[in-house]
Amino acid sequence: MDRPELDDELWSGIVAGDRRALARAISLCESARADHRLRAEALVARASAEPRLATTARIGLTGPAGVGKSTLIDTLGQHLLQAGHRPAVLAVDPSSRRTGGSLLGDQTRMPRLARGDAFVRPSPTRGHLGGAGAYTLEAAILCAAAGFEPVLIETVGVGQNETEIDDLVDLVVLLLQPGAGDEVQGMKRGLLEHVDVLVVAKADGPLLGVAEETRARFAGALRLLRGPTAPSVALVSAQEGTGIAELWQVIEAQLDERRQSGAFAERRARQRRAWFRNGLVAALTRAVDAPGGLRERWAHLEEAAAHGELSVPEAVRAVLEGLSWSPRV
Amino acid sequence: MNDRGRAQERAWLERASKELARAGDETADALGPRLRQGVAIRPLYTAADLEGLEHLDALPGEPPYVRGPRASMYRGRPWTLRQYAGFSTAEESNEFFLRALAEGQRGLSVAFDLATHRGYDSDHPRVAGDVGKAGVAVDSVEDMKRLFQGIDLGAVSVSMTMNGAVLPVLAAFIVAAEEAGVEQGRLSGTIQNDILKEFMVRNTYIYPPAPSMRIVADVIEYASEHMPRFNSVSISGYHMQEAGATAVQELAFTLADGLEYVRVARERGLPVDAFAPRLSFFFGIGMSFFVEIAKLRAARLLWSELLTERYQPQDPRSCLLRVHCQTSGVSLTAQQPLNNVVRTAVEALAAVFGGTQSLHTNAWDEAIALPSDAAARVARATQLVLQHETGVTDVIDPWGGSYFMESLTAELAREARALIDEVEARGGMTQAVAAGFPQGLIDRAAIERQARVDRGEEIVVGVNRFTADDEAPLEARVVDDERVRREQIARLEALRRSRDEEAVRGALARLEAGARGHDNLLASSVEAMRARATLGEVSAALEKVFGRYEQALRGLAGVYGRSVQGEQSWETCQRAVQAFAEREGRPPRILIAKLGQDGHDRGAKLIATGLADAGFDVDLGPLFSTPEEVARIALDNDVHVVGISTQAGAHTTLVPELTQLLREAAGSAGPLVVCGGIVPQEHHEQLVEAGVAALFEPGTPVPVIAARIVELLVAARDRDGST
Ligand code: B12
Ligand SMILES: Nc1nc2c(ncn2[C@@H]2O[C@H](COP(=O)(O)OP(=O)(O)O)[C@@H](O)[C@H]2O)c(=O)[nH]1
Ligand SMILES: [Mg+2]
Repeated sequence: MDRPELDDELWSGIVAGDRRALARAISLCESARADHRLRAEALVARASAEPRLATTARIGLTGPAGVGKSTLIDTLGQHLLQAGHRPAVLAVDPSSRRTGGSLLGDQTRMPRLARGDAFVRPSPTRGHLGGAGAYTLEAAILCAAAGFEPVLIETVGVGQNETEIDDLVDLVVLLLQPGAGDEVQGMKRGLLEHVDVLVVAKADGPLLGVAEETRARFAGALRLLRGPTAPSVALVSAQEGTGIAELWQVIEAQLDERRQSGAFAERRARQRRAWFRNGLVAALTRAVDAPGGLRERWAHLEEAAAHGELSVPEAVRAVLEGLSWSPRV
Repeated sequence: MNDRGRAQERAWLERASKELARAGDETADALGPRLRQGVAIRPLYTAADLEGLEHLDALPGEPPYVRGPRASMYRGRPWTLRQYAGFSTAEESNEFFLRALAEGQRGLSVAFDLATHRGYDSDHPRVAGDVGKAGVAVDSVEDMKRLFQGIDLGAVSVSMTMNGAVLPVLAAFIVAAEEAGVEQGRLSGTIQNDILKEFMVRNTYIYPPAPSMRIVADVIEYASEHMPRFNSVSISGYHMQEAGATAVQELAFTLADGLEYVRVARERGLPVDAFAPRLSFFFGIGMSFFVEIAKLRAARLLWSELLTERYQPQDPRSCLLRVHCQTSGVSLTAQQPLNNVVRTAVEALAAVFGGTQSLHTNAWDEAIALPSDAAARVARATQLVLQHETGVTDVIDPWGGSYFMESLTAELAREARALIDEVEARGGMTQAVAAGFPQGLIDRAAIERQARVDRGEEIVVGVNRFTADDEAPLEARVVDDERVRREQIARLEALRRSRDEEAVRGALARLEAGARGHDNLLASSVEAMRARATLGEVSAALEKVFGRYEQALRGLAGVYGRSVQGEQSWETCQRAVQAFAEREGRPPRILIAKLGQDGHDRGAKLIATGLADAGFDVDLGPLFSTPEEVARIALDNDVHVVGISTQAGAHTTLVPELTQLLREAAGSAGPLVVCGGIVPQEHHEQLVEAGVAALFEPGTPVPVIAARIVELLVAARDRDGST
């Protein structure tokens, strides 16, 4: 097996907090090239051993497209900078997971942050060999190693990927539109059971009244579902900057509590398990399809199955038996 | 239609089809509807097309004013020749104005520079490169006085395109006139003061939508009280057309904006007749000749109907739409630029047939730089020739009663009304704009139009057909903005030394307090400007209360690609992008950036969309960035290319600064830099020397741009052998 070798120059740049080194390392994570992958893995391996990793919080902001995630990050980011933090923002847009190119407008949605001292990196996720989630984790680990904290991760979601974001971050903030309701029925209880902080966005101008109602409705639903420990529901206006400091207090308080109770470390361990499993699946899939991979090596079995000389299940079993271990599948 | 009419039309169709069959033409195509601005045009219109049209009987000066706002029209007074101009210092623009007036111009129309538009004094760090460049620099009452030196403001009407910084600019105008002995009640002219279309397409907003609308209302209120001869809003569709809107979109969104301004003024408690007669309109006139004429007629029809229905005004002038027109700049080409004289003349004619009250005609070097003196003269002469040599002023509404024109007028009005209803259903224009509704439709129309041109389906002479490659470069007007900035800074310093500082502080404090409360902010701004506060200081005082607004640029992934699918050049360039992606492990990544106060974003959004559809990963940077900010985003995102879209002339200052920063940070491993937009030939060398790898002029097809960028990238990679 190729042993990934550490690019010392790049690594020393990263730990010194050099943005350009960090930027280039993240590009290696994004790349679909096998040699880039090896270099990325070496950096991530080294960065995973950094003590900073355990103390750098990863916070996910999720919600439907257009709910105001980027704008909130722009405003929250200002607040964090003023409070002496140095946030990194990873914006992952799953709508860019199509073949071909993608349009990453996030910088225009976080214009003030793009001007400040924060590190903002929107990413298309399509190329990554370990899947979107793994890419984000790697990039987050590198950001932490470079001294950025907290790491804010923006993903679009309400539907399938909220469990995915659960596997990436220490705390999930879900944004709701004022007046949200019907689509949230559809997003089912799964999400409400998981979410750590619920925020009704755009609580300003003509939407303020509706936003307050929405908050009351969700606070009620959460109490029913999760009892007295149900998380509170915050009201914010990223445009006017209201509720931002309070939101950060809520987030910090939750993180502190989990650090003390050990839930924080437990969750990280769970995430690494999920990562391990997903990585294994991805690696096996690659091992099947890659040039010189399983399919190619056992092409005669595939042919035999194609021509009806063997049944397909028999052919598959024959391949597996040819491997040095015999999994029960 | 009666039976005889129907039979007659059938017979015509048969005859026409036979003729075409004999000639071997594809009959169905030749006689089918043709789309112009989204309106289907049939080959023949007849009396039957007039059936059921209600507007036909009214004469000029009669509601609903389809045939003209005044009874006498051009027999009484021809349209006002009003050219939009301004550049460099107030003195230089003043000289230009005096010459223009001597050469037959009737009214003035001032173009301010982008620093002024965005509420910054010339010494602000964010405006280096923009001072005096795309308009005239005005920082104070003193500059305003210089601008109108020797011009009698009681006699010459002055139109001012100012929106974001409307308060200090209008205030400076009022004080400058007052100090020249003309009190405000005698001033005639127009202030644009149309903020909604700034959020939509023009991008010189400063504050968020809500306080911006309050400012609009303050100006309307002040003018209705003190400036009876002054138009307090010029509700503008022109900029929408230039940003890509179809005729129906331009019509609908402009009138919907108008309704919104009426609403905010009514909420102030102003009776409709106190201000509606002083609302004026502004439309663009493009190359769709008939559609443009019909658009102006339909606009008058609709405005009259809408105001009557909703507000039952007593004063008939409240329902009467008066309009200024400007010929279209986007229809003009950088290639074979003299052809633009013809285009502009045809557009001007459409504006006149449509019954415009005043007109700006573009110069033939429009797609190269601000008009040179020679080109500006031809632009003026175009109107003078129309007015004095052709007889077009002899008869009022010559198209009245035309089967085609009347039916087209009705159709545009119908479609625009449907779109206005949609906007109203979304809570009116302020909310529709905040939600990005009109922007999305306009951007889509703009990108689709470019795809039609790139595909060769819409012919532009000299660009995609009948091209020539032996063009002589021409001399462009170039403003030395460094010098203008130095002069302005010296003046600001002199002003700050000579004024009563305490009076200024007091006036600014009152303004700020007034902004927190409910004072009329124009009245407070007049006090501050009179005390010799600067434009930037007045703006900053308001910004403290209202904040500065930032709006995201959005591309429309897929829209360009879908429209050119199957084209050979497109597929070739997609393959090249793909090959690069396979070789490098990721697609080519490009940052599309706008530098300085330049708010032209049509080209940037088009290129962002087109390149993403071609397979690039595209970062779209925020408007109004400094070179430092662009360099930072480029390096953080580790892009292969930085693409600067430059329109407003600041490239000679800002682009070299950017390339320098990139070199300092990344050496030769940094991203390539390419440029597109308005860069006169004489700047090419300077930019190439500064490290710009390619320049793309207006009219370059997107597939050509994409292919060339990949080619440059591959060459650069091969050269350094890097990965
Ligand atoms: C449309 C337009 C407007 C619209 C803008 C709408 C919008 N949202 O973009 C409106 C009416 C609002 C407008 C306003 C103004 N305008 Co204007 N406008 C134009 C016009 C007519 C066309 C520009 C355009 O959009 N063309 C269509 C697009 C698709 O073409 P393009 O941008 O050239 O892009 C092509 C290539 O250049 C290239 N490209 C462009 N960008 C990029 C980027 C990259 C990376 C690449 C690879 C390629 C590339 O690819 C495209 C496809 O071929 C030009 C004149 C002209 N004919 O070019 C004047 C022009 C740019 N405007 C001008 C001026 C002065 C102004 C104002 C400042 C006037 C004032 N004082 O108030 C205002 C202020 C606007 C602002 N906020 O900055 C001047 C600038 C003068 C100068 N450079 O010296 C021009 C040149 C007209 C003139 N001759 O006077 N304008
Ligand atoms: N009124 C209001 N609008 C907001 C607010 N935050 C975001 N928006 C608007 O909502 C739209 C989507 O915002 P964006 O942050 O891009 O949403 P995202 O897709 O969730 O990242 C934009 O038009 C914003 O201007 C807010 O606090 N108040
Ligand atoms: Mg977003």
